[in-house]
Amino acid sequence: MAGKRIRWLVPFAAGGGYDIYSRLLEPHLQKRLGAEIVPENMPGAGGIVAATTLMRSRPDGLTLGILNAPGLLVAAMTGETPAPNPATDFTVLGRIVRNHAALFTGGRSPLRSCDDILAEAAIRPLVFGISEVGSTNFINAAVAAFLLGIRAEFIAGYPGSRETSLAVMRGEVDLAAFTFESVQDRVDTRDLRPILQIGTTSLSAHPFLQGVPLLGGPEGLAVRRAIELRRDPRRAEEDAGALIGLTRTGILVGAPPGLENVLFRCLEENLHETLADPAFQAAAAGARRSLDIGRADEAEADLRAAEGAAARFVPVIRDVMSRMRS
Amino acid sequence: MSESILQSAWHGLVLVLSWPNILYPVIGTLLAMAFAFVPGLSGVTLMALAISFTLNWEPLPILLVFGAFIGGATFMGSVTAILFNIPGTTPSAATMIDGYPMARQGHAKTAIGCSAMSSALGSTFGILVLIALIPVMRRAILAFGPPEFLMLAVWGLVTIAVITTRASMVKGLAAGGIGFLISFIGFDPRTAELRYTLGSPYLHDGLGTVPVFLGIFALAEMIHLSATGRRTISGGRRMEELKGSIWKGAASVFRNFGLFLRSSIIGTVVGMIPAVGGTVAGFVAYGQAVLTAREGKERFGRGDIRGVLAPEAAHDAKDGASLVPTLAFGVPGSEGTALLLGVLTLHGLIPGKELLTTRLDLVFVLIWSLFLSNWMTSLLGVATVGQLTRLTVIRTELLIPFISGLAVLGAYVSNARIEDVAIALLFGVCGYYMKKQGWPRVPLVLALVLGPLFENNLHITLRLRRLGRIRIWSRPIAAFLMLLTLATLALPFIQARLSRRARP
Repeated sequence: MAGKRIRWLVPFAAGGGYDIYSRLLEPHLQKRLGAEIVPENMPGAGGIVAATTLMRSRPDGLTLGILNAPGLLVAAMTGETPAPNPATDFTVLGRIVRNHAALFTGGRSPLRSCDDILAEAAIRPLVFGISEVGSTNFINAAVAAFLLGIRAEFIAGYPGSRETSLAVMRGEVDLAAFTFESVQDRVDTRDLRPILQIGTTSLSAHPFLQGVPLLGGPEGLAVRRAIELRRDPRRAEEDAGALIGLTRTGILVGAPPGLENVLFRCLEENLHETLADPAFQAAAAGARRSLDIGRADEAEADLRAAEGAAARFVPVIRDVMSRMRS
Repeated sequence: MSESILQSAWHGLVLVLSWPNILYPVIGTLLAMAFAFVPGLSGVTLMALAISFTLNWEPLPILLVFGAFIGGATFMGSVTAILFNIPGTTPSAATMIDGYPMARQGHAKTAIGCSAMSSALGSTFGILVLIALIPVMRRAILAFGPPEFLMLAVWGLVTIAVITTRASMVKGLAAGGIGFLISFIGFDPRTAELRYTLGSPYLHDGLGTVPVFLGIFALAEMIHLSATGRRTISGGRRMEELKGSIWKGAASVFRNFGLFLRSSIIGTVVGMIPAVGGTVAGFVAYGQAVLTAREGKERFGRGDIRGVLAPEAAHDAKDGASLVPTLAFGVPGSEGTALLLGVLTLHGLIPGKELLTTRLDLVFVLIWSLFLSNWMTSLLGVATVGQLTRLTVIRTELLIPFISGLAVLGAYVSNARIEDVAIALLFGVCGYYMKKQGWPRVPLVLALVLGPLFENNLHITLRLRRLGRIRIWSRPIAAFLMLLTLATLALPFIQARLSRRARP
């Protein structure tokens, strides 16, 4: 790859989270490959435009990209929007980070815990704020609401997750789902409060997550609620596991399908070494970006598991979407 | 103002003016001016390119340079609007309405002089408000929600009726209606349904503002110049024949100081609204300039200097104001501040309480750099006005291919998609025919920009009201904006009635 020019497709606008990861990677990967990496922002359709462009590029190692795996899987799963499937339509080179999602209320909200949420939901539907129907945060919110057995109304149309977090802070919506990292600064200032972790283990060692219940696992809230509501607890645990698995597919680096083995090994190895490089990890820490790196085979295994398992809650998603359209 | 804010302000100013720090805002301003002057490029393009180059810099020079980028681009976008009828940025489109007719009449210097003074003073106003708001920034932003955004969009749309002259009001409203309709193209975020995308993923996010803008203004203007066979923009005049005076233009700001203040207030308040504040600010300021003019209303749209003063004050005042949501909550107020946000994050400066308390001196570095850059661009613009106005006497056979090429390049550069070029070309042809048939183009672009803001916030507001989450009548800011909208609608009729009564 030495002396070559690699086009690096970023599926969202400059300045956003995916762009930041790309800019952090750029100098370190450039040094390892000896190639010039040129990030190209190609926003559109929630990352689908860039993903489609990547999928259709020549598999010559000169076009790579960063992929929003949960978003693409959701789009492919629901079939609402034609989208490439990250499990089958790309050569996956590795994972940068898993997404760790949670449900949040506002800092001044009277709903301060999951018990408050469940008690309030017995009286009235809870109002969730979301940016786009079909987004990862929407899927997290809709499936979590289903697993908790709470009545939920969804208000979509906020321009992005930051604007949605303002809606939660203003109190006009009760709850929203976000990746913990994307709102950690607002958790630190007590503007947002995590009340349910969408995981089987704690998302991080952050002090404000201590004592916040987990959705998944045999002792998780999904199972406990299933028992209370006389549903099948094993099914509930599997559904929660599917949701968590989908979210954890994370942010991947990919290449077009059909990449030659030699090229694949070169790119995969160099990417992994870059991600594991202490200098890169220090840069990511400085930008307050967490990492949870994984090699290509691990990322692919996650994708296959998520693809298979996530199909089980397509009916839930479709039901919510049709209610929103009516 | 608390002592710590004053101390941080002083410390920030010392950092900006010290050697060699001062080099960063100076060079940043010059680069931003160059980029903003070229149709198709912008300060945002420069910022996107600079992210990679500045990755290993320390936070201080980053803030110095990016503050200069934000401040340096605004004024030069207005210069192209005045000289070529091609706004360098969407907010500059309002300046074009009267600025370009002034250039055609040989008064480009006066227009640019007015723009320079109005920009510099307007940005100073916006920055002073930003500083004053630091202690209450977070509360100020949380006071705005969907009902307020909705009323702002309505106010902006109503302005379309005001800015179109009587002769073309029907066409203006129709153009606005078309812009509103095409703003619906794309993915409906509420229902995930695709509307009018013709099966193309390119249209999932709707028509991009940048290619439409470049087509309907830049390319359409070049087609028109070519079709009319006009020898030069100023109509064949030689440099010696050009009238106008920079000082007359600058002095007009003080002669119309009330208008300047009102426009700066509009720019500041509206500029704080994330996403579309800048565009709306200029047009709403222009609309209120027309409405509140005591005499000579018929001159607006034909080269009235007040039509340059008002939008220029507003859209430079918004520069400082757009930093408020960015610094308080990390919610970008514009494309430029979205990039700034990314840059801040890359360098470990997370917007919010921490930045506004423990790193306030760095916040002031950004503010002072922005302030310095705004004044530099105005002064440099005035200093080079002679050379700039020469462009209005260059033969169009030379200008047309150059500007057209840059516009096409700019359409591609924005998102790296060839479809954007096709859209720019399509709207270039549409814009030419609109101009030929006397259809105003500004309402179409304004409605295209405001349509999503209006639609999304209308639905959110109605949903929230139906769910009992908000009581619209208990929101004073929304109520105030509604009154302003009604006043904007009613004032022309009241004024017409009063003037009929006054006639003997």
